[in-house]
Amino acid sequence: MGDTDTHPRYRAERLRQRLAEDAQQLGVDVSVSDDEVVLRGAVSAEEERANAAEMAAREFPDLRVRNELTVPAMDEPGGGERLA
Amino acid sequence: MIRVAAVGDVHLSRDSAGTLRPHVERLGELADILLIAGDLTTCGHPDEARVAAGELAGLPVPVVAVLGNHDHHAGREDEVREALEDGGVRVLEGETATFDVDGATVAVAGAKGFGGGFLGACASDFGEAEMKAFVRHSKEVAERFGEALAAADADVLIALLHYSPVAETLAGEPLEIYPFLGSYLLAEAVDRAGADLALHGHAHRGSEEGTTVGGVPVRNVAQPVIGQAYRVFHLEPAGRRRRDVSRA
Repeated sequence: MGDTDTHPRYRAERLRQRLAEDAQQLGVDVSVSDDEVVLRGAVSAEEERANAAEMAAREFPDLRVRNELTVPAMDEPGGGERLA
Repeated sequence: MIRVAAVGDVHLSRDSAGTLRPHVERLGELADILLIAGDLTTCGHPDEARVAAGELAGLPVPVVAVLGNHDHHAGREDEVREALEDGGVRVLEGETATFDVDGATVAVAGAKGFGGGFLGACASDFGEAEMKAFVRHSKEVAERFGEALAAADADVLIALLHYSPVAETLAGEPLEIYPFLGSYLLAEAVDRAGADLALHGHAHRGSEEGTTVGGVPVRNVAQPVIGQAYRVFHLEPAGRRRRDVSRA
């Protein structure tokens, strides 16, 4: 559980920092309302997506975690871009 | 009522003797204390600091300052501080100064602060050594500032910074440079301590008024922003939590 002695918006920022610094996921936005914490952005793998949700749940145990993080597709290209 | 005069970013040079003094002659009639939110000098040369000290010498109120990035530019910030203090200016860096005003105690917790960015858009302690050094400096400065605020025991608590604690008072600056103009960590420290007012400078194109997440009034008193020699704020000592501020 996070530092409850500070405003939830500061705690949300702290979570965003931990996702960057401890989980190496730098593209995550964290927003918090009265009843839920929302994660948005892209992470590198499904495990990271789940890990981010777990970190959010630990920081905000009383809130529902809405995990809108995506993992970008990795399909091979069908061809190349023709430049001039 | 405590009357607090404040200005930042006066950027005095070796040739500035006599330019500020005429504008602070009446200060003792309007205010009980003068707070300077950094960048007293142009290039951070001790000679410039001596000019600043001369301009402020002998005022009938205590003068308290923090240094700004310009005051660090020459790498001689210790000498700048010494020159100012020789002239009677109390310089704070992660420190607190306390004064009695009409039977009330006023504490000023001061620090230069640093960049890093604001809620939802700030730098992380990640990547290149230079980036990590930048973010770690921001954290260290905010931590010392927080300790200074926490140590204060007074009827009125004022946070004095050069860098901004909130993005709101930067409105007018290019968004791209916000992370270099302040850090939310400073605001968090202000909110934790329940300060009555937070003052800063640095953002010459910014806006004057803002508020922390916790409701503490923030004022950007950079001289180009206020367009006056200084602003005066009136504070009522009324317990140690959330008081009103009104601008004179």
